[in-house]
Amino acid sequence: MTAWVNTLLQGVMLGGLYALFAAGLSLVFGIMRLVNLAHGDFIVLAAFVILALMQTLAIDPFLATLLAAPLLFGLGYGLQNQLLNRTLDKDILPPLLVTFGLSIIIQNGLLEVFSADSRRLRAGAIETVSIPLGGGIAVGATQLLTLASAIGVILILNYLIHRTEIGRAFRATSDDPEVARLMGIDSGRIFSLVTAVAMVVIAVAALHLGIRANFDPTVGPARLLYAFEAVIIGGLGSLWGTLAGGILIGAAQAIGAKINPEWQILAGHLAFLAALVLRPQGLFVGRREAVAEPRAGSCTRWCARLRAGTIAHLARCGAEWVGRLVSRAWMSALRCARENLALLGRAAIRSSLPARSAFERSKVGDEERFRVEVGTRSSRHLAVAAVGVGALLVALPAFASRDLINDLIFVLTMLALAQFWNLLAGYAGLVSVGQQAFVGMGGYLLFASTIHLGIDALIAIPLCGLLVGAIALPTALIVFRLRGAYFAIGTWVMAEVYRLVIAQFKELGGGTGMSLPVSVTNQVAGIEWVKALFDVRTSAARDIITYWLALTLAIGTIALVYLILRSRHGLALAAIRDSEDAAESVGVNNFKTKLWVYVVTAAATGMVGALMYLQKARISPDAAFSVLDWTAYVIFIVVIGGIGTIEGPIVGVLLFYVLQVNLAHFGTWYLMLLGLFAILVMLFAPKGIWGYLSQRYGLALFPIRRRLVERMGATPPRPDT
Amino acid sequence: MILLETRCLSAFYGDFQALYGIDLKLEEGETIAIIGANGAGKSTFLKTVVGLLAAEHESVILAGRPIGGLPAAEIVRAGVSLVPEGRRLFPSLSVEENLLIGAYRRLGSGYWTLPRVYDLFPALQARRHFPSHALSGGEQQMTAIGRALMANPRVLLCDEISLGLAPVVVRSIYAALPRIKESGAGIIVVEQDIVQALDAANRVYCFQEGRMSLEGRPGELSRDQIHLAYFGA
Repeated sequence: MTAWVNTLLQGVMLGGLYALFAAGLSLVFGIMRLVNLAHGDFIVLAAFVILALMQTLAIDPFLATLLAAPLLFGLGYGLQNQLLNRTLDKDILPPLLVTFGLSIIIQNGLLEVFSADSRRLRAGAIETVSIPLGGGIAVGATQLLTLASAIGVILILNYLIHRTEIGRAFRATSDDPEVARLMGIDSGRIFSLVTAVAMVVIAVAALHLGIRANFDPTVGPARLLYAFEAVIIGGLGSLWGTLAGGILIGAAQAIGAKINPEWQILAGHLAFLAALVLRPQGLFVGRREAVAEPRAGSCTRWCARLRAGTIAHLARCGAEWVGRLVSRAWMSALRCARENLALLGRAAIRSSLPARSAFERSKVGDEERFRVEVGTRSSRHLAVAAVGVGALLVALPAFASRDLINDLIFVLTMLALAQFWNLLAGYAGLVSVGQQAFVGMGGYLLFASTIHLGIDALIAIPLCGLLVGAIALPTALIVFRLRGAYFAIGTWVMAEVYRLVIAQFKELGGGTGMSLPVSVTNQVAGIEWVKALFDVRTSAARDIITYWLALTLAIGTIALVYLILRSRHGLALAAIRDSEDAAESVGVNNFKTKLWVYVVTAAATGMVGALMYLQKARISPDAAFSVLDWTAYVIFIVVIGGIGTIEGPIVGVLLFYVLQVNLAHFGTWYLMLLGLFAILVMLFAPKGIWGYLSQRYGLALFPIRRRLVERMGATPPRPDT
Repeated sequence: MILLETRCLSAFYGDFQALYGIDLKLEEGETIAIIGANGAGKSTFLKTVVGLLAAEHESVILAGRPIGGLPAAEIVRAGVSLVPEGRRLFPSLSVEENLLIGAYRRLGSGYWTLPRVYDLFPALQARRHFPSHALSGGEQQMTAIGRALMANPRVLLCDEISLGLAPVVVRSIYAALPRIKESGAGIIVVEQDIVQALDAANRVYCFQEGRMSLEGRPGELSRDQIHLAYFGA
């Protein structure tokens, strides 16, 4: 009993630390709607600044924090003023990507300067002081200090926000930046001050992080996730709620660790997911507005069903619904959406032509004078060229070296991942940072089905896709309760949950991973035929088959994305991305459309993951669910190439490949360069390389825009009377 | 003396031109009204003057000093305040905080202080600690006007202050204008309610599709003239 009370008490104290992590995040989001994906890395950066001050000046950590605070204040002000303010707009993508880039730069910069060694801020005697509370229950002095600091920070922030003139300006700017300007408030300066204050809070958080536990440059993202969870559980805008959220996560982690030391982190995440499902608006909502979306009608309906426990019903609806969608998608792909296009096009013309009345009048009698076209001349030429290139790529193994084939496998699989992320983020507005969940699940399902069920790898790959799609459905129902930037971090949490759960399965190699036996990889269907055809050894034949699969997947991906975008669903997606409310009001079912895209994308990403791990033949949780490999690189490819275009990822993956081949051996410097490159592109050419080229030269290889074309030889328009 | 003048003021939303060469003058101690149909460019005009939309530097002149195209915060400091359409109070601020934020960048002392605003709109005094969204529409409009006055403007711009309010409430709000004028401010009201506008103003401008279609004193304009200027042919 005493042990349990102690555990719970420890959890509560740990919650104080998480509340400290979360306070800065909450402040910044509450006032400028900016979600800082580098928040965790800033905490780690601050810890290293404190460490450096301690070492160079030979002072204790508390004094060092006091000295670090003004430095970090200045850093925060400058960063917001020079960089982040440029990204603040209605679009959530630029701030997300810029802070994601910052996260990569900070992590690798710290690795370069301080190495990957674990550090600690030594506070001396206080570390070992324990305060007995009687009955065998005791609490550490540093732990108590953390909780006290969290309460102190919240009190001070609340005073600042609600009782001072600058706090009034904070709130006014947060409510309505335009009218705030009319009051003579310089919103850029206010935002910079907010970030600067948040950095001071981060310094306090870093002090406690460093005193209580070891840290190294890579622990930032996990702190971001805890902070984010505390904010969501507490409800937006309520700092006391954030404290309660932090304590809930802390207590869940402590209890989980008590049951099984490996379950600590997982228990915290599960508590978060449970809170999200049961009370999406947060436990302690302070303001009218909640981050989690209780407003989308169909979502709440689904959620209500989930809550009522009718999971069987849900699964039935889901399955029926996916089946219907798949068949419908096929039908419309086959019909090529021709009639739809014509109809839509005509409607679009009617509403968009400025000289509407003139058009309406001239329409009678020469209905045929206009037609809607999607293709351009260059696209038609290129379609022919593409067929040629495709044929060449298929025949390539006959004369290419094995190295080239291997490189192409990498390029093609990354291209497929990039296309799907682009469909998700660039077209559906679902900015996910958690696609590694589906890559990893695809890989692990391949291993499980080939090793434990003895299924042939070629059959296993599509099967993995289907299974991952089935997993994505319930995942979506949870993460769709979050919007925008919070959706992004929510997907990341889900990926972590999958990683931690998979690591629990001893049959799949647990935390260390496993290899695919040679018997599986060398007995892929068709391998004997390829060996005979090209006269190569087994391993080379295996690569060739993987290459063909990758090629099929990549081309199939582009074709699928292209067909989706040319169909009515593509138009619906564009409408949702531009304005959710307007799309809903013209009859687009936002929730269904997004869910559909999310599940299809996940299934396809799972297939790519299965294929990649067939080629790698070795899997481990950390590699398979790596946010850097399967999401950061993919985001880089899409953003550099041009988000929201089909051509962009193709350009991006080629550039990425060139960089990877030439610079990857620079390690951390290479990653910092990628991060910097992504930030610069987002600031100065937000549409990427392809976006710039197509704007400049009017290029479109995969045209999806409907354009109005006057028929050749049609009667000239009658003069307008 | 001319307090505010626009010279050939044009405004754009992207490629779309919303105002075409507006010339307008506001004398000291004068109230002028801008009337016109929906989309005539009335609100655009106010937004451009106050710096929310881009303008040529020389096209807006406040007491001899060009202010066109300056950031909104600086124009407010120079002495132009806007009561925005739809009131747009800050929902997380109380009534009194909304008034106080109006004085955020105010320089020195001026006529308008918190007690004088409460004196002008006594209804607000009792509700000073209410959240701003808990007020009635009329009280919200009073708060919005008071908020703009707290900056001690030389020119007060009022965008559709009768919007969505009952006639009796509209009359009580318009009744405050003469006192504001007495404090030395020039006033420009934008109105769709022609009767109200003609009643309150010394001079009237009518906009139509981004152009000035009529200018004159309320007593000297005939119904037909206004009808033509308002609706076009």
